Amino acid sequence: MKLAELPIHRVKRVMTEDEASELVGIFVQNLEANCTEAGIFIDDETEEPLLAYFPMEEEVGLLRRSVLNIKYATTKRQSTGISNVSRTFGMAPRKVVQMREACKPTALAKDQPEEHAVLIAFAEKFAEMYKEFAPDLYARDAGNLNEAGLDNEWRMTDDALWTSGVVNKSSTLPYHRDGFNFATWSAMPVVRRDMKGGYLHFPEYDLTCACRDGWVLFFPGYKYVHGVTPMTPMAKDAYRYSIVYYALRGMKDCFTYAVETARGRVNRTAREDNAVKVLKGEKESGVKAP
Amino acid sequence: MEIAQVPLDILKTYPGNPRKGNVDLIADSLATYGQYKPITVNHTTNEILTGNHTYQAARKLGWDTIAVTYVNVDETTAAKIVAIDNKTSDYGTYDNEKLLSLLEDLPSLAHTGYGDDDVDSLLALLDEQSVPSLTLNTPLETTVAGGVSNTQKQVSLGEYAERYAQKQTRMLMMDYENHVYIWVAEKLAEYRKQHNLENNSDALRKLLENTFNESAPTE
Repeated sequence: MKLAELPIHRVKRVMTEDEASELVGIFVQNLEANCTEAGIFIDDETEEPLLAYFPMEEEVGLLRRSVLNIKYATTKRQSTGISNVSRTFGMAPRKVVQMREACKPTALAKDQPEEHAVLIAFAEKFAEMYKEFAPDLYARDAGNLNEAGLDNEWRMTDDALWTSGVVNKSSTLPYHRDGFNFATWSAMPVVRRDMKGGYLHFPEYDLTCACRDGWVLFFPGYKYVHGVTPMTPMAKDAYRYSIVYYALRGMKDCFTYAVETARGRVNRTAREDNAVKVLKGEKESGVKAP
Repeated sequence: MEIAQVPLDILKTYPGNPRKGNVDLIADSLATYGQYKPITVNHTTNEILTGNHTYQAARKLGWDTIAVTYVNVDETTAAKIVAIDNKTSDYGTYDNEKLLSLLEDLPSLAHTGYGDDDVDSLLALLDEQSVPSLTLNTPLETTVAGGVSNTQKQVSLGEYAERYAQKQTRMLMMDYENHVYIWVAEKLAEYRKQHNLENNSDALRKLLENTFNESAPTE
């Protein structure tokens, strides 16, 4: 399939942005997929592109093996407060409350380097696909990142627009926008087996993408509300993994890796010194002894 | 074995039949292909031993009669036939490659009970076996931009791991009683000052380098 020649599907807006915002946090109901053909979907009136959907035609077996091997954790999404079985990959920004003193790679890079490397290799492949089907959008997104001052060191690969990603394991996510992201399109490949449902619904256009096994969806998740329809496993070992590649806004504050590491160590030492003062009763503090 | 065409009204479903079937799917099959195998009925009671859902599907379609083979068995044997008939079908499995090939050779999946999702799942199942494990030497294709067109080259996963391997650190945690903690932290602070160091990680490393008279590895 030549991505530069993907068919165009025109779709009508059925809901305003504000109306869609009211759905945020609500679980998606069972819906039949109506976005099942490969192509670029555009707003019928404004001709603005909404999403692209097509088969990967790449080494899906590698991606599948990677996500099947990954060890997942149950976490609570900051944006919705809803529990989700997932694993992040790529780069992570500073988060002092979680004792992450510096911007650094996610733990998956260290814990499962082979599986992580597959996800990163695919970031490069998806960047190539994005360039091919929408060179203008790619250039615009790349420009946005450069303008924001994102250091190249924090991208997944030199050409990838994305800094980070998350693998969601059979997660029925309620309606949300990807609020922590730069204004770039995300890539979301899906691998699945024996799972009914798990389609991605865009209420503003009442578009429900089938998310077929081995297909990838590109869309501006920061802009359009989206959510996942309920899933029903048809086999004991059924699965649906969505792998979302995005550019985290928090990464723009990261210095180079060397500076980040040095700053992290200095900050940690300051906390250790502070703890001495607290232990000696010289300082009232909420600072906990390490 | 004789096959009789029997009015539906005289037949009874097996009381307490444990099997749950998809009547709609069977109705679709009956409507499309007709009844290509008879159901089994106990002659003494007119109770259906095998094909209870086929009977229900035939009723749903408004059929008047259904093809039946009769057996003459007592109550216990009837119950055992019901049990084993269901159990034997439970033990059936598939050769997935052959199933996929059968489905893919069809011009359409209509009236097969299978949909595109099922074919995708079969392909996924076979794909799972295509890459049994990953190592840093696992090869993959990558696109290299340049010249008039892009070209493909093979690289290993290790090349993608490298960018991250260079950015890995680990924390060394130490645990002391409060009074010892204060002493250690203050001594480290003093040592940092003496050696113009900014953090405890560097202070501890310097201490060890001096103690053992060797430099920490650079990579």
